[in-house]
Amino acid sequence: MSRTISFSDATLEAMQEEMRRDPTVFLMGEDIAKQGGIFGQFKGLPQEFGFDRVRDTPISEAALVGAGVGAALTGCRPVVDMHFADFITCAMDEVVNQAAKLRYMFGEQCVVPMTLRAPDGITKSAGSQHSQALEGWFVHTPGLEVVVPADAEDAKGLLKAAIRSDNPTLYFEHKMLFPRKGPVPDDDDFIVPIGKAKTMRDGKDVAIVTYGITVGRAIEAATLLEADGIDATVINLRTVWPLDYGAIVDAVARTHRVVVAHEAVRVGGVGAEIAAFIGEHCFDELDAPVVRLGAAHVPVPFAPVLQEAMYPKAPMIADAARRLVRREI
Amino acid sequence: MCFFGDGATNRGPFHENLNLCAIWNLPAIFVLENNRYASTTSTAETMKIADVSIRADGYGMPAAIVDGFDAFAVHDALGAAVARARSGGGPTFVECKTYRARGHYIGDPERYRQKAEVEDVMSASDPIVRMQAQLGDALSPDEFEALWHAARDEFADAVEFARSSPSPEREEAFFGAYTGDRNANDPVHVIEARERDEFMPFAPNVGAGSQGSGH
Repeated sequence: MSRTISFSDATLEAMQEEMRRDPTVFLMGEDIAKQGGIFGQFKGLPQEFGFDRVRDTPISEAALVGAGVGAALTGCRPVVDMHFADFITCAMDEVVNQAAKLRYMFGEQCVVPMTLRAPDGITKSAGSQHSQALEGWFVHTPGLEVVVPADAEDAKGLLKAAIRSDNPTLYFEHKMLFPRKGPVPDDDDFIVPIGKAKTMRDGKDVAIVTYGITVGRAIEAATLLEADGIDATVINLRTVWPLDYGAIVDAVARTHRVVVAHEAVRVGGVGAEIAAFIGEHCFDELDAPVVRLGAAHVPVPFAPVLQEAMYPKAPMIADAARRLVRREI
Repeated sequence: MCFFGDGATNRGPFHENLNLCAIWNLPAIFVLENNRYASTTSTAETMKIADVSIRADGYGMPAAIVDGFDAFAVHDALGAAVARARSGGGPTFVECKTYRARGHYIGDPERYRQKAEVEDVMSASDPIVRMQAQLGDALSPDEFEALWHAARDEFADAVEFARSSPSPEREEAFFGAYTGDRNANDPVHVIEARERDEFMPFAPNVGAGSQGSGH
């Protein structure tokens, strides 16, 4: 059985269920407890779990993540809300030099089961400093897990998996997805396993490998392609580290043509890793070069007309897939 | 002169910079607009002190507290700070006690404070009303009215200018992060131009003043 709920409510249910299940799970961040979160994603949590487990904090990202690392090392499962993914930059030392490396540096004697929630992505003119998709930085940092939900089901299942994971996990939740509704299984123990991709659509002509909000855009592209008689596979990676390389290999073997797409800047992005991997390991399966789509190498602009020009949406994804299939690339 | 809010003073870089400017004896002036709210959180919940300016003492920096609703008092305090900076006396911290008249953003439901609190503070403290009283006979009611209208008109004109200005050309999105002539045949501008050519066929022609779809 499943119910249809918003992405935002899916994350709220994940928090409720994990906090009921494990008394060491707690949440802290700016404007979350009294305010309920800018997307309503924390509504009611302090009433159920108290203001000790749902903590409002000053604007002190470095201290927040540092406290999260300490709490995680000493047996808790902290969830730290970064308010906007862009603000992780204020706590990079704590994330990159501490959380990611402690287990390795101290001979596997410790775990850092911390979850960082990071609302990200391009919305309605939020400006360059509130619109970024930064997952690539953290994929590049050994020691971290990075998950990017695409819909309500992912939102719930990946957040629960992140909280239960003994590794520090970054959970990038796209701001435009919060109000979107989708089915979520009726099961308190439902999780989306970290490191496993999901095939959203199975087609024989071309595979669109993507994650996060771009999954919806890829499905839209697949519908556009249908009109041209092109049958596209859409792979929702769900986790961008550790990548589900097996699912990528399978998709290449089935379709022989691949478009990799994300909203993050294309240059040096997760798509580069995937395209390079396919080039190294699936060369003989390819009928065409891998096409990689991502945002242009510019800050996200404020003006709507500029903002909408610089990242890939369904028509651009469909065009790339179409040209691949028609051997124009 | 560095302006910032109360929320910023709980971040590490605030403390690092106060210390740095103090030890280097820089001609810097730190102007805190303490409006009692950081985004949706009351400052009373994020610090145990009433006066943020006591933090300056910890870095050996002189500080002043001033009624931020009183334009003349602010002018005096900053004038003294400027004189100190110019004379080689080093940095000064000025805390202007004020209040946030509006929400943190357009459409902020302001669930974190009572409407009555806003009305109480603003009815008693509106700096423009207060300045008129302070000016007394120095400014006739007619002159005050004229100034008031001139200021409003200036804002209205600016808003109208923004509203009636055309949206930028879509090609602008791809240039401007790096210095130099965008048409130059140098590495970064060649890349920018290539990305422009790649994206432009798909760039929707969103009308002026409309919002991006995000889809």
